[in-house]
Amino acid sequence: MKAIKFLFSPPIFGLGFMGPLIAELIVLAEFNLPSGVPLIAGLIIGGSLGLMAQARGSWFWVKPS
Amino acid sequence: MSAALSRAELEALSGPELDALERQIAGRYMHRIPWSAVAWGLGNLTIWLSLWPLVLFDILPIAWAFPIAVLNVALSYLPSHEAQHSIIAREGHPLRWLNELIGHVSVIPLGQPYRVLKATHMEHHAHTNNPDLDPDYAVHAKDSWDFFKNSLLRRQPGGAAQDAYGAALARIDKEHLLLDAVVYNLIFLTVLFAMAWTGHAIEAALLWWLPRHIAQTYIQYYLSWAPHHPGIRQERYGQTRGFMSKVGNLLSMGMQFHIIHHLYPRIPLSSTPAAFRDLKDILEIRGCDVGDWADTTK
Repeated sequence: MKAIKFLFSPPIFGLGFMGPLIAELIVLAEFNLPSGVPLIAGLIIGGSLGLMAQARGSWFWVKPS
Repeated sequence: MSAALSRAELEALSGPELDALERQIAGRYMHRIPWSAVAWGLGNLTIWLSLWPLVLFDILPIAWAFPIAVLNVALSYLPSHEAQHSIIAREGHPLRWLNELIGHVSVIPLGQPYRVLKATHMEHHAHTNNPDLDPDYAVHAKDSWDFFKNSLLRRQPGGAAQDAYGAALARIDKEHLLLDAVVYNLIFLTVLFAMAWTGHAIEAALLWWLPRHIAQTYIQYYLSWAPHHPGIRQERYGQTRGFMSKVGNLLSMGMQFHIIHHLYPRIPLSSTPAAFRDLKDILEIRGCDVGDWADTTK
């Protein structure tokens, strides 16, 4: 059960999906960063958002009541 | 006018007579195989699945595919809903396999398991608007804006979106169906992650992840919030209301006539407008809130 909860947790989603997605958006925005940097930036942003969502219980600033 | 009787004539009928007439009229719309729902379920799934290779092989721009995907995911629930009520074919019918097939496959774009949806939806029908037993009760909100805010917040990691469904399954001893939900979620995440790590995160986001969120909100708004608002009556004729949607019957997914569905769940969605028109006077006599339809003759 713990393993399943971990798999479905926000940090995993942040790293597994949000990270690469943010990286692709950075490339799409033509920031002209060196190769590999967009992915690292994406993983940092996505991972941080995931950790925040895990801690606050919400991906947004507003918490569910 | 119900069954060619005037409103005054209907009001003069005894309770059992009115009851018999209501059932007789409703019966005219039942026991029909809704082939349109079958075509809708299979066609909608086929279109959504075809978007993936079309986008990945650069045949269709993602900007065009995204709104189509949103439409596909939003339209994926209702054919399964017909199957949940065994409207396509009841148990024992030679086409029962088709009923179950549509039930399972039409909701693939929504990424939710048929058996969980069916079990919890039956609980919704059995306990509509009951704060403790209706798994959809949390959808209630004082207005549209409040609904949208709640809908978004309930889906957050700390939100209560899934709690009510899990509790309902536990109450009816069907907790094992949660395994279906776990498998579906695993498949959903595996596809998203695999697409993202092979350089197709934007495609995955716009073909499934974002359309799923938009569609969930849209479906909850028109199927749960709007027809059950304000959600304070639990008796047979008070569970749902009629309403005139500003976006029309198609875009509101036929839910203007959801009263008919709760009273006679075996009437196909495509027949609920006609059944409502035929039953409107009786429903008003019964105390149903038919909303703006009260001012219409048909």
